[in-house]
Amino acid sequence: MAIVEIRDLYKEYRARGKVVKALNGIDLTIEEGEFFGLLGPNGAGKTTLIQCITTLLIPTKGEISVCGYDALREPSKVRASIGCMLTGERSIYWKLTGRENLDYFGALYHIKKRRDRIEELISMLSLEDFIDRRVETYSSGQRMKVAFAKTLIADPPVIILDEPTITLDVLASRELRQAIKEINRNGTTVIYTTHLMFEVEELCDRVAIIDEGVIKALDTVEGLKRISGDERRIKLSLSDPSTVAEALRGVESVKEVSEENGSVVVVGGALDSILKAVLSSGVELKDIDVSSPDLENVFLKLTGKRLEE
Amino acid sequence: MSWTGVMAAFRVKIKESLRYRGYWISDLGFTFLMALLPIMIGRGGDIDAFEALTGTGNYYGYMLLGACTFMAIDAPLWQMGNWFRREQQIGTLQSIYLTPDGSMEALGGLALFCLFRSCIIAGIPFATGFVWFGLEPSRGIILALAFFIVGFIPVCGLSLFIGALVLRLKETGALLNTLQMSFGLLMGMWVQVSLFPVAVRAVSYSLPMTWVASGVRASIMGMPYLFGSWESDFIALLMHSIIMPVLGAMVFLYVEKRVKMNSGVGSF
Amino acid sequence: MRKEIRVTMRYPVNFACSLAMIFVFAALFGSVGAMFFSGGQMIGLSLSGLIIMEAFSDSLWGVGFSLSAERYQGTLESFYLTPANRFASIVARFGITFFWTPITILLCLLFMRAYGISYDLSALLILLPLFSMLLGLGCALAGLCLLYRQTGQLLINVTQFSLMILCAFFFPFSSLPQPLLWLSRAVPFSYGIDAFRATLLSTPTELLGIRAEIAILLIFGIIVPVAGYCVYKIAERRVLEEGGLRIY
Repeated sequence: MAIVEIRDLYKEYRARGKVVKALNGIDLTIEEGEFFGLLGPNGAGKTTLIQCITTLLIPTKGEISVCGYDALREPSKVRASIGCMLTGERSIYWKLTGRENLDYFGALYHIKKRRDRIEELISMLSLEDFIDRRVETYSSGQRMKVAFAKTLIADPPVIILDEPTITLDVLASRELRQAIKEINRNGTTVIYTTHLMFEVEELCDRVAIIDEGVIKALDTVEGLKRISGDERRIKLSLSDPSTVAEALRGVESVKEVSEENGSVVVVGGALDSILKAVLSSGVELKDIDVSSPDLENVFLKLTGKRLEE
Repeated sequence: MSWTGVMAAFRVKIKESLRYRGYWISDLGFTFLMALLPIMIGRGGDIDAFEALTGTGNYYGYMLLGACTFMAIDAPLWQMGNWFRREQQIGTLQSIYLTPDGSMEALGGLALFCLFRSCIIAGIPFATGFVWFGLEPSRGIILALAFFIVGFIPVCGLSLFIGALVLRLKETGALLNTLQMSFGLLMGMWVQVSLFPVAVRAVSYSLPMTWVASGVRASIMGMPYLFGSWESDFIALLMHSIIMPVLGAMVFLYVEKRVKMNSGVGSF
Repeated sequence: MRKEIRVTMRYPVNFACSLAMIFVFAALFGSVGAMFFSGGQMIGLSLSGLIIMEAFSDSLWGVGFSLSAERYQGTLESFYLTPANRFASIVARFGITFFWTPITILLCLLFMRAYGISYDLSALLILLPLFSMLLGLGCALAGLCLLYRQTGQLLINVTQFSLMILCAFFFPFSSLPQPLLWLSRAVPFSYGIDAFRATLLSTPTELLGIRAEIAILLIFGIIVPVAGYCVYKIAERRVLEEGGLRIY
């Protein structure tokens, strides 16, 4: 069942007298319980799209519905259905403690049993050690955790996270990703923007690549990789590469076999068939390196840009 | 909009103010200083001329009540108007706008906080004035309080105009400072409104704070009311309490919608 | 300094409002004066007070509040990350005083001429040591605002208004009650204001003789900036120890 539906969405605004087209006809359906990734370089329109979904920005044209509520006609109900983390650690009050922040936002989301919900979140995200200190004394990771807890305070069916791990170290980032995965496993729909490929591969069920206000591609990670047309490359270090290269040329669906400095590089073909051919040749296999097509290349192919641009 | 949200916002403001060192003491001190400055000018001046103009020779009480009303009624205007800017700058405005009715509840909580703050920072100097400057506590205190409480409603409405201005414009610091002092002048914080030329007096009368300052002074010090009787002045203030919030909300919602149609809430 | 003036000019609304503020204050103090004094008796006093107030206000807010303003905008850390001499950068913000005070002086002199009040321009020389003292005060407040965060705004307001009373910006020193007059004599700025007003309006000084007042000004013109620098450095050290550059 679709939980977020966007139809023919356009957003234009004026900046210094010029018309900027931030979104240029977006059509998108996100299913309930899905982990949906939004991938795009800076200025692609990701944040504008999120601001439109969350009713912070009124679109020029188009329709958005969240949990069946129309974003233009029932903005209050849409906001009540979404938990959103846009400005990360600056989305909470630093002069208050983490618990006071959760209590305040809980009240603004009209949560009835706030104390119970706060305790639940504290235990779920392991906030016990610092939740009663003022936010100004927290580390970046602790602030992001509390900001994430604030996002979950209303137990919304949809959460939107805009580059939540961007300021975190490896450990804190991994912890946060784990927590998000857990939330998603429990049925919450997650919309996640990032420019980190490994996060997309690790987390997302489907990914939309957005650039210049247009969705350039929308598919699963594997599906997107297929778009690039790239095949898996297997590099085999062998004692006698020529013999093996000859044998591999006869293996089904292998597209290309080449020799490079004592190694054989095979493009395409099924992994088990290739290994069988190598082992049956009697040649010693010293090392093997498998490289799959990556999203970075897909992205480059579709947008002509690198993600960091 | 829920009362729980409003109360939560009120509690947050109280906590925040208590966590900034010296916040309350400096605010209180400021009220006394605002009264002292014109009193010092008066000390070297002609009290008969003052009495002829105002109907009272007690310029200490006159200035103290003016300063208290300014701090209690006019300063919240700045606090509430500037709230958007401050939330934008510390980054929490978007978080509030992401909640179902958060902006209105947060503003409601802030208005409550301002009322509470006003009672403290005006109440203490006010009480001191009774002791020091020979004001009679029994005289018209209830009426003065009524002027003060009713006057708070249109001021909240007026603050929505300021909020709209802050949402619309960038770098409003100097504008707000100028407006605040202009309002101080026009409301008769230190001066008798009747001293102004007719056109300026008309602007003065359009500000709710003018009616509060005059009403409080007239009730406590026995000075003449702007329209001759407390009833007519009170009706004028009631009119402000109906018109200002409606107009303020209309302007604010219009500007808020324009901002949402352009760059969005939270950007600055 | 160029950056500060450029920023001022880039916000036309701010510029217009700051200019309008001069007229608002002139009207405010002029009106209070008109309640107690007949004729143009108070005008000279109010206008000379306005010049002083503008210099104080710009120094206190332009220098004293500058770092807090950077903190609100989120640029304070960036400022601290540059290799530039921080103290020199803060001093440069004093340039805003040299922008607005001359405008105020010009406007006030025009008002005086319009009201037929004679003035002596040599009084402007007295402003120089006064500016040096204001720089010191601004630096001290910049440090304190850094330390006391949001309360800093109130601290500057209270300092400004306290000095307006103790240093008798808009009324004669003789209006002050005796205990306040003693306090006023303990504030070196009072002598600067007394000397400036007496010279500008060609009236006798109230606190000390003009030579003694100028001597005090010259001495404190050296002491106050040094003291201000020390206060700033101590406050800055405490903030860096606490890691409070990003905290609001």
